[in-house]
Amino acid sequence: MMQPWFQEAKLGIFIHYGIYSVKGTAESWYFRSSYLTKYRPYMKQIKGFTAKNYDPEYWAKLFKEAGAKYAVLTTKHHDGVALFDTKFSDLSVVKKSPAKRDLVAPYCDALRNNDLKVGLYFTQCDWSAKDYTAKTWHPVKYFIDTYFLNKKHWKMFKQFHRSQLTEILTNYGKIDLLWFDGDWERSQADWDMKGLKQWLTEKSPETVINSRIGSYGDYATPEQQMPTVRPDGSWEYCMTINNSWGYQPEDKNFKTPEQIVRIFSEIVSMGGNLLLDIGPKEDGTILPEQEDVLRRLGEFSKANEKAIWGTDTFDADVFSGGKTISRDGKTLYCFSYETTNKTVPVFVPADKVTDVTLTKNGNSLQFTKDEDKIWVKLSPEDYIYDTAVFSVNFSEDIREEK
Amino acid sequence: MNTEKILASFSIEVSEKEGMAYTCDQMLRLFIRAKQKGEKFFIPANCQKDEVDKFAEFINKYYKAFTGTVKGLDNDWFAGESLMSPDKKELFLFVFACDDTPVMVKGIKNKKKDISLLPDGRSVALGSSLGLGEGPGSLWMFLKKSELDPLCTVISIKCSDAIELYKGTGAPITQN
Repeated sequence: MMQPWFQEAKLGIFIHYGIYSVKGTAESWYFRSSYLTKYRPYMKQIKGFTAKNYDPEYWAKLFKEAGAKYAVLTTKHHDGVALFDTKFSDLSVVKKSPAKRDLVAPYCDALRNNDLKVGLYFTQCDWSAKDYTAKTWHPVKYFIDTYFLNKKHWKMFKQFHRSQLTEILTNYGKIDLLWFDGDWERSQADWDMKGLKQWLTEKSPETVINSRIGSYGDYATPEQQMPTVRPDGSWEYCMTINNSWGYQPEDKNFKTPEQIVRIFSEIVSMGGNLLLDIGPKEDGTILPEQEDVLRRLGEFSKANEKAIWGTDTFDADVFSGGKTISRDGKTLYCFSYETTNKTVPVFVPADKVTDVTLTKNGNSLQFTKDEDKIWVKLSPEDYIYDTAVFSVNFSEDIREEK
Repeated sequence: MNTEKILASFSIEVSEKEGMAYTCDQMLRLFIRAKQKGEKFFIPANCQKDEVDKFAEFINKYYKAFTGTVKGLDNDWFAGESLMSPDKKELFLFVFACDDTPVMVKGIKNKKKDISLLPDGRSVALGSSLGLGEGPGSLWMFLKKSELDPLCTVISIKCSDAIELYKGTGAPITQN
């Protein structure tokens, strides 16, 4: 069920960690186009998955430094390889890879040690499970199972799916967030999503469930395309730092810290969370480019935490840039995205403005009152990675005016 | 052309009333905002002549962005000032920057876009737009300090058809 912490979190880190990082292939999707020629070479990667420098404590500290309040680790992607010790399949890094251990447990411990909420990604589909079928995946098996075997295999798959879910929900302490994926290959009725949600709510009522459980999720998950229309209710925008979810060495298309700061600011202004993805290498180390971006994002988010956390959205067209407002309605936070040395207008009742400060250090900013607006003087040094945040303080709650 | 003629050609009037003595960039901001609202722009009587001259010179130089243009993009598509040509095929973004600045516009669906700086059509460095799944992604433009107009830089995004915007909440991607 939705929990208040999620709506207040603003930033989470998504971790796509799996055997695909050995050769740097696309996660699971690599063999989707040709099972016959690509499945075996893909699965061979498991022999090279060592996790030898896996240090979730280091990860957690880095995430915290970025300003994240939670993280989500891929415990099982569509390839079916579990990062956890499962009794219900041999396909895990514990049984098949040189890593030879459960990677989920130390991850959960490290997050909790650092006051981060624990999120686990678990995909609904499983392209390695013998009983998994869909019209678009083993269509012949699907046809036979559906029309001649009374869905015997599908029922067995669902049992397997629930068994593994039970493992990740019971063996690792309290799970704050369960991040589903891969629900699109079978209908909501085939999955019995309603029943699954009910089961989850009874089993783990404090776990927030993302959207990819048919229509029964607690929040929406736009992916790679930033919303231009705000989703109803809670939402979280998931995005890669380069163009890949998992480790793909040839993809050097990293977004700059300035871009990440901008995107984060825009998402916060629109009332969502950003779930920013990293793809560690097979040994568990994070790419220097991704680590660097997270640290720089942390510089921005720490300096401007008052504008980011404990604030609400403010939709009135008072400023051309990002905006949030304090819960008492007496401070408007404006995010300026153009590195300027001029004045910027904020269309608010000037007589109610008491002062304007730079959010990052509390220093007063020069401003001029002009009837229905104020002009705030900015300079390039006010910006952190090309975004400046300033606080407009009022003598009373200005939301009543709007 | 003198200032009076330029202002008259954009239906801008110098008011009889006094108000805040705006600088040229402030006039420009308010002029753009008035155009976005389809309102007339009045310059307070007490504005300094050289500031008014600079403002007039600017809108004359960038006349294309101000001739017949109407409201551009809402804040959730572009968090800055913009205007659109009446046939909706050209979008003008106004960036009041004095240093390197990334400019982002969300969700322009038109595939072919001619992006340049006014008034002379210089090109702009572009970033990856991403745009997997149902949306076209975001358009990133990286303005360098050396190419900025110290008053305001105007970017033109020209399409062969009317600009079409992605209006959606974003969605999960089911193909990769």
